Amino acid sequence: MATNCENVSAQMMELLYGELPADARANVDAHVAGCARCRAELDGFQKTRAVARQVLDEAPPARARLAILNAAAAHLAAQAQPAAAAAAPAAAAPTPARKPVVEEKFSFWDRLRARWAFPTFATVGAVAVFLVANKMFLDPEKSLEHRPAATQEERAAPPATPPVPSPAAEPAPWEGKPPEAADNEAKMGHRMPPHGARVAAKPAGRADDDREGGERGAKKAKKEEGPFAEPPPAKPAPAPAAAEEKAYRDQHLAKQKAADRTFAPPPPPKAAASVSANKAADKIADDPFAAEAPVDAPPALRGPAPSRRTKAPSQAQGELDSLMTGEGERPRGGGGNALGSVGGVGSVGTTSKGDGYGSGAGAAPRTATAPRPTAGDASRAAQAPAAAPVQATAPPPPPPAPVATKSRAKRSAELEADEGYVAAEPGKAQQSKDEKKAGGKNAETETLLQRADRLFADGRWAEAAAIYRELLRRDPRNEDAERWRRRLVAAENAEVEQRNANVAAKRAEQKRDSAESAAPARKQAAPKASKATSTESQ
Amino acid sequence: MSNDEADEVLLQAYRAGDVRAFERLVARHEKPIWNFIRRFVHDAATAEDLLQEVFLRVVKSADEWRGAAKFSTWLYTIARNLTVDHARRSVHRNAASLDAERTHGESTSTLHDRIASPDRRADEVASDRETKQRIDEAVAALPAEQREVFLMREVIEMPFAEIAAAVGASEPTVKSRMRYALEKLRAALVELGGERPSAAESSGSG
Repeated sequence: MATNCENVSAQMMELLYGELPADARANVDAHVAGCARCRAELDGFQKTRAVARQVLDEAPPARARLAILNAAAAHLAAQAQPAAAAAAPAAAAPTPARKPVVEEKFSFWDRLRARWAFPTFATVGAVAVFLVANKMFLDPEKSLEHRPAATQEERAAPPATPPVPSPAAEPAPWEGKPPEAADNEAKMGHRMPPHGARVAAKPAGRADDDREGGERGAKKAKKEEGPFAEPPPAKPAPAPAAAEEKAYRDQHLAKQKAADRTFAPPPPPKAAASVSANKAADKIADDPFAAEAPVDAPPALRGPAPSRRTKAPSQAQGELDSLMTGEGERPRGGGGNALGSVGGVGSVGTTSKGDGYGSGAGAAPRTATAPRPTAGDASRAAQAPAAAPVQATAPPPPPPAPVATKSRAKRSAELEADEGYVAAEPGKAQQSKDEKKAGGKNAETETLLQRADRLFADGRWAEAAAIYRELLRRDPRNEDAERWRRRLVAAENAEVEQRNANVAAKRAEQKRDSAESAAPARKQAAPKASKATSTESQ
Repeated sequence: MSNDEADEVLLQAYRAGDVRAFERLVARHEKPIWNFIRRFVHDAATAEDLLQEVFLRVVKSADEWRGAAKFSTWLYTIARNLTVDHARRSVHRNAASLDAERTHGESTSTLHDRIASPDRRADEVASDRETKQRIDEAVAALPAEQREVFLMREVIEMPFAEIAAAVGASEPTVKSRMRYALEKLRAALVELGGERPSAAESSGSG
């Protein structure tokens, strides 16, 4: 086969690297030997190879082989002992800290995750914070639970509260908050403006609407104040608390005195905080039955109820009526309504004292509002012997007092029985316990409740009623609220009854005094007359 | 390369737990692979890491190797893939021009001028450290396809058929690439003045 230059050039690589078959190589070699051009080309390639091979003959670093061999040994060890697999990679990398040349390949999603993980979490966190803040500060339904007592007062006003004659000009003796309310505010980290101030800040026509509007009013007030209402200007914290506490005590004293002052001379004028209480007490002192008159007026004629704290006993009774009406409780014939429709029923048998004084239907004493004794009541009363010792320790009342004491004992027994009845329902009792444990807020309620129960047991009706009223104002939805209402009704009834009894006793005493004073005169007149007749006869 | 035992036998021995067998495999192949990598990766440290990575892959994949191809082909294919991948990721670095001015003492001359002096022979040129560096640069200046074929053939001494299998090209294509690479290098050597090979080189080149 003839070999030309083109064939040799085409097979040059195989010729250069010795991959040409033997027969082909012989032909090519023969051609190259006779062709200067092909020989020059071949020599040029061979020289280039020689130079390149000299340059390209480097030995690798020894440590590389060592590292490779260690890795191979570690791999074998890891295979032999699978349990030691975790420790193997550390030993398998004896190469001095050098980053891996072959970079790890991350998938698209890995890179996307790595890039967007933080912004995503940040966004989610921000949204969560916004939602929580929104719920806390903008949703009054939730935030009302934590609002101070002044706001809860507005919620406490049941929508169906029948209007009570409003002593419009009467200043609020509860102007300051009770210490517990102040504490609540302090815990909340902000102070609400005084209730009176808030009401005054509104248009006069809207104040009552707001109060009676329940939650709507509360919402409105909340919106007006804003979620971060600024605290009142630069008041040192302890001073207002002390003032409020003083006002609170004054009010209590006023109420107590109003109850006790039935026979006492009217006290000298006091601070504005206790004006209304004194006024009410004076009213009662002058004519305790007349003090009942506004309560006895038909509900339709009553004006809107003022602030709960401003109420004199008669107004408190109106509020009590509203509570009773609103809650649809068992018919107790309470309050002024008793004189109308219910009173006719409730007065049977227990109104003899009041009737005995000829006060008429309009002046029927509060004993008429006592619950009608039923079989259940009797049985429950029988289950409550605990009330008896309390009655025994009560101070001896004036002559008609035994009646009041009896009624107080009966009422206490009934209420104890009622409580026992409530406690007998396991679900309610458990729920009540749970609510009591709910937090620090309940601790104050507990304290108040204990105080109220103690006063109730001691027969200090006015004070007990005031605290029960305060409890209801603070936490009208409490599980025990119904019991508080019952006790409030009972305490106020007992208070009125006691007052009536005292008045009756006073009148009886006056009668007796007048009778006694008339008797000596008669006696003196009688000897004179007999003497005159005798002289005449003589 | 002395082949007392075939690569495949040594690999089987290593899989059975004989680390010495693997050591012999490493000793047999590390130098060609090193030189191959070194011509693609100019950083010695990176080349060292790549060399370790090649054998680590062999270690990890030793159980998966079923002998369908020659061990050397498999090994150099791993080396080639790792190296080429790394070269693609790395920043492209232009090889210094052979005509770039170099300072040699007080005189300024090109390497061509210095090496092309008539009193220097090819072996002297090759032994010169700077000349080696320039030849490295000339190899690095080759197109990647030609360079890898040249290195596989010259450094790893793979037959064209195996090179074709490794690079995924036909055998004539591989030979053409090899030819082009040699022609370019020869042209570079002519410029360097080493066109006069020594007798020893001429005799040993066959």
